[in-house]
Amino acid sequence: MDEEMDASNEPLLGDIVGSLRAPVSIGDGAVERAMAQLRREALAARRWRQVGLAVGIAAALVLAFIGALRLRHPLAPNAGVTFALAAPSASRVVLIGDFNDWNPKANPLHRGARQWSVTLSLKPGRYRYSYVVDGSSWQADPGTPPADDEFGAPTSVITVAN
Amino acid sequence: MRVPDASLVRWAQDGNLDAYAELIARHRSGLQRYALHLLGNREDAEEALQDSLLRAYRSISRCEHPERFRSWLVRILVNRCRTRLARGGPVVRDSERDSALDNAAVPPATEQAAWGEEIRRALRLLAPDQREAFLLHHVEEFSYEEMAALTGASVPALKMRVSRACERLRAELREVYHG
Repeated sequence: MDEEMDASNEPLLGDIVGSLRAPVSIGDGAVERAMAQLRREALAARRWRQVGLAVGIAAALVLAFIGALRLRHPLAPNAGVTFALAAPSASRVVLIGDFNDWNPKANPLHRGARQWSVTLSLKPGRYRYSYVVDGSSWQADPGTPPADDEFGAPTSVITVAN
Repeated sequence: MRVPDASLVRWAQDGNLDAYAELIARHRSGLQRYALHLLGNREDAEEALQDSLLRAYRSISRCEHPERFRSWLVRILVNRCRTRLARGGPVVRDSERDSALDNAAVPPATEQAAWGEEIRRALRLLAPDQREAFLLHHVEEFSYEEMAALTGASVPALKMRVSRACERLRAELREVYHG
């Protein structure tokens, strides 16, 4: 389909596009709420940094204790989710999805003897995702249900339980 | 002189929230417009937009091409809108063509407002993938190559979607167009 339509050459389409490009009267509240939340998080982070070494040591001890507990229970549900794809002829496979904002640089898979894989620690929830093979080809995960994707992109869905 | 987006992104990556606020101020109108026109109602659009802005800042360290910040940000929004629809958002079907207009619509006090409502009605009749492609290409002015990177669809498939969207919009709006 090489027929490129130039909206400026067609009055009807030009009017449609012009109308849709006009500013809309929604969303300012969403922007303000997001920025307010980020400022609260930044303030909390700054305060946390000011707490000092003593609290840091205490936190380290707590984390070490939690870590020791995890070592004793290695099969806890959030220990990690492994994504794997058999793609023997691929030279690069990356994982994109809701958990990494579909960033193709975030989670490359590692080549194994029989398949490519990567393990992520995910919070409980439902995630859409896909594999990108050799930089351009999106591929759904053959091992999980396909996502109900009305956009034609091959995606899968995974639910991480509590 | 206006500070380039790329510089603001690098400051934001160093934790400068004011720089991020400036970036959002620059691009917010397009983000709002896209979310509203794709999802079709104010509540879902605001939710998708807020979620996108939070996610973008939290992951801004992964924006590896600051000069392409807008595309990076829109990709997050595109996927949040898709997720919103997949999770039971206001999927638009032909049977809903006569449903009430969304709560973001302006009452048709003028001919121009009535025309705007007709456009929104016709837009909702498009399949979501066609609506997405039409908005990204004609309204947000992304090239097909940029759209392919944003959406994972091939350039020919995207051209087909835009072409079909244009055909459908023409068919729906020709009779009420008084241009």
